[in-house]
Amino acid sequence: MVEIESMVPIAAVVDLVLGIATLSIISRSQGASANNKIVGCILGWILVFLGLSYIMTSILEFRYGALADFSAVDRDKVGGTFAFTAKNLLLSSAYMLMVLLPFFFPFRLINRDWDLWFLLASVCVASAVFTAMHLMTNFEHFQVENFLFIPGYVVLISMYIRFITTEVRDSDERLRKISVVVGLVLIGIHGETMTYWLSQVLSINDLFFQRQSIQNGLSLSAAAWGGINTRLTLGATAMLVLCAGEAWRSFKLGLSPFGVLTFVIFIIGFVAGLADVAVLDVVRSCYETQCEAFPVAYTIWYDFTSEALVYLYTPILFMFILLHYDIVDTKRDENRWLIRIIVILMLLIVSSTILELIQSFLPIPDMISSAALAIVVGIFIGWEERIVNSLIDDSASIQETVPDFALPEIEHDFASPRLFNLVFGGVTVFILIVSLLFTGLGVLG
Amino acid sequence: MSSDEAITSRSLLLTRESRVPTAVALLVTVVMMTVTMVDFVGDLQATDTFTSETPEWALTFEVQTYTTQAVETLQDDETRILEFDMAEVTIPEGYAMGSINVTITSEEEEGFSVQCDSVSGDLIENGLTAQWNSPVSNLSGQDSSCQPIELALQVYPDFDGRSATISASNEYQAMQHWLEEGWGDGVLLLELDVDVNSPLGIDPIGQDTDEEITVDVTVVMFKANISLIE
Repeated sequence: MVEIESMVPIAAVVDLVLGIATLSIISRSQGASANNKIVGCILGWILVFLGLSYIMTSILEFRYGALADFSAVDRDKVGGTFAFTAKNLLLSSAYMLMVLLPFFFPFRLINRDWDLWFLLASVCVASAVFTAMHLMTNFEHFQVENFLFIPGYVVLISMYIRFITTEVRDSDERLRKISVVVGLVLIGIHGETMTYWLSQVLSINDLFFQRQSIQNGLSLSAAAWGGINTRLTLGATAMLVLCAGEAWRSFKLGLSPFGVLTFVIFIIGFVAGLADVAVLDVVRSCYETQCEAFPVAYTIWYDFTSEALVYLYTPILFMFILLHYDIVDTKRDENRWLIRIIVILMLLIVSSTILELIQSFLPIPDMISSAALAIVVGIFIGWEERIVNSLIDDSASIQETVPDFALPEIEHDFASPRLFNLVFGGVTVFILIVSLLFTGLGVLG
Repeated sequence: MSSDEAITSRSLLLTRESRVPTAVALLVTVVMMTVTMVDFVGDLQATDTFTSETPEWALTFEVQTYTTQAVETLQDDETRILEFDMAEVTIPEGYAMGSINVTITSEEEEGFSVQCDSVSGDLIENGLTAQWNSPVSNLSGQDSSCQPIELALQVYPDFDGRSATISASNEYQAMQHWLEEGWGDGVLLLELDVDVNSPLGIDPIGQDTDEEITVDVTVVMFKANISLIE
């Protein structure tokens, strides 16, 4: 058996590779529409921000040993360090892009000349405001930005229900593509909190955060707790809506792969809720007695579900959206080889990580796990062309799939990936410099 | 959607059929958010109090004792080791062994005509789980003035029988130090040594050749009680 280790470094590599590759492909896609360029850049920079944030988390983990339960950071150990500050600020920027994503994908809802400037300005202003606020308050209000997810959530939920009802009513299969992509975006943004849906319905997640606050020396404001609860509620209700929608659609039109994915997450959340109830004594121990460790089985369950969903499957999900909805130009031969490399690389990284995870609790000898990995590699190499082709050949943009729903596209000369890279690169540099400066000045911690 | 209906943002989000389920979904979201927010805020206040304030607790002890006695006759210059098995001590439910007090008394009585024998006693450090190195423990004593010898061994860490005020986040943590098990397991070994002294140093008929020593072993058991100081 191997010792179970964090998936954060793997997630950092996966997110960064995919993010940089996406931005690279977008930059070379001269013929892509302005909207696809915007969406591609948003998704690419979400992955880059997340990847950089995970790098900082890895530093906190390996240098300071500060990673506690649920990948939370022990602030007593690392509060005020450069990595801690940069991690939170980068995560905050990724959140801002996630908040704005539903207004540009699958449809560019505002569809005005100024919406692109609104996007860029919002991210810059929000980064500056949240950076200043978090630094001045020593991250007491961190996670307050979760309130900003509410408008996007309303948009996505409304759009999902609108298209699934119309699809079932008119038996219009084209519309399925919209409800699926909306569902995938919901899972991409709220995936982790979806796996806590039953705990949120039972209203016991607060006890877990109480434990984390005591255990990790967090001093959070009411706004921060409200933000955390908002994110958990949005995830829980999104899961319930998706599950109800897919159950209804399956009953009317038959089961679909997205329906299966939804039901799997629903069941994971159900089992996780029962597991959470089972360990409530341990959760409450920090408050009532003294902190007890979670049972090993509970930790393994969490690693395989919520953590794997966040760190391993979310990048793959974004990759699927990028390729299957033709956001990056998949048809060009010069892009195809890069896409192939990315797909195989990501699938292999994730497969090997899952194998390592299995090895952590099943006494499988290294010889057998190596052989299993070799089999996976063989399958991916043998079927590489088929896997990639199935992703790419069936791909079609939203505009191509449902042209009757596509809003008239506004072409911007300035909507170039270079502009996005310049602005968001500037935000990244700003965050890193401010973190370094404030850490050096001893303002934090 | 009818072909003559204009595509707007609104039509991308709502239709006649989707209006009700969307409203229900958003209503459920609002209700759940409100209910859970109340719980979160309640826990926030409790956590805030927990982490920012450390209440004080009054610590008192209920004490019970167990006494056993041994009477030994030792010859002049004899050394004898007495064993007291602590497993024979019946400790009531909820109590722990706090300390062991040993009193060594010789038969001679103090007075002008009597020459007191020289008696010494040592508690021998062994596997008995106790605070052998504590300054409170008095492991050796000697007397040649017919006074009892008092020896003491602190068994439970920090136990001195006196009430105290302690700071702790909750009752469990306040009590935690006093809930340890395993102290006082083993056998108490007491080494006695007697050097008989005759009156005025003269014992022509050799009558004063031994000494009767009485050893009283008192085991102090305690039960800690905690109460919050308002």
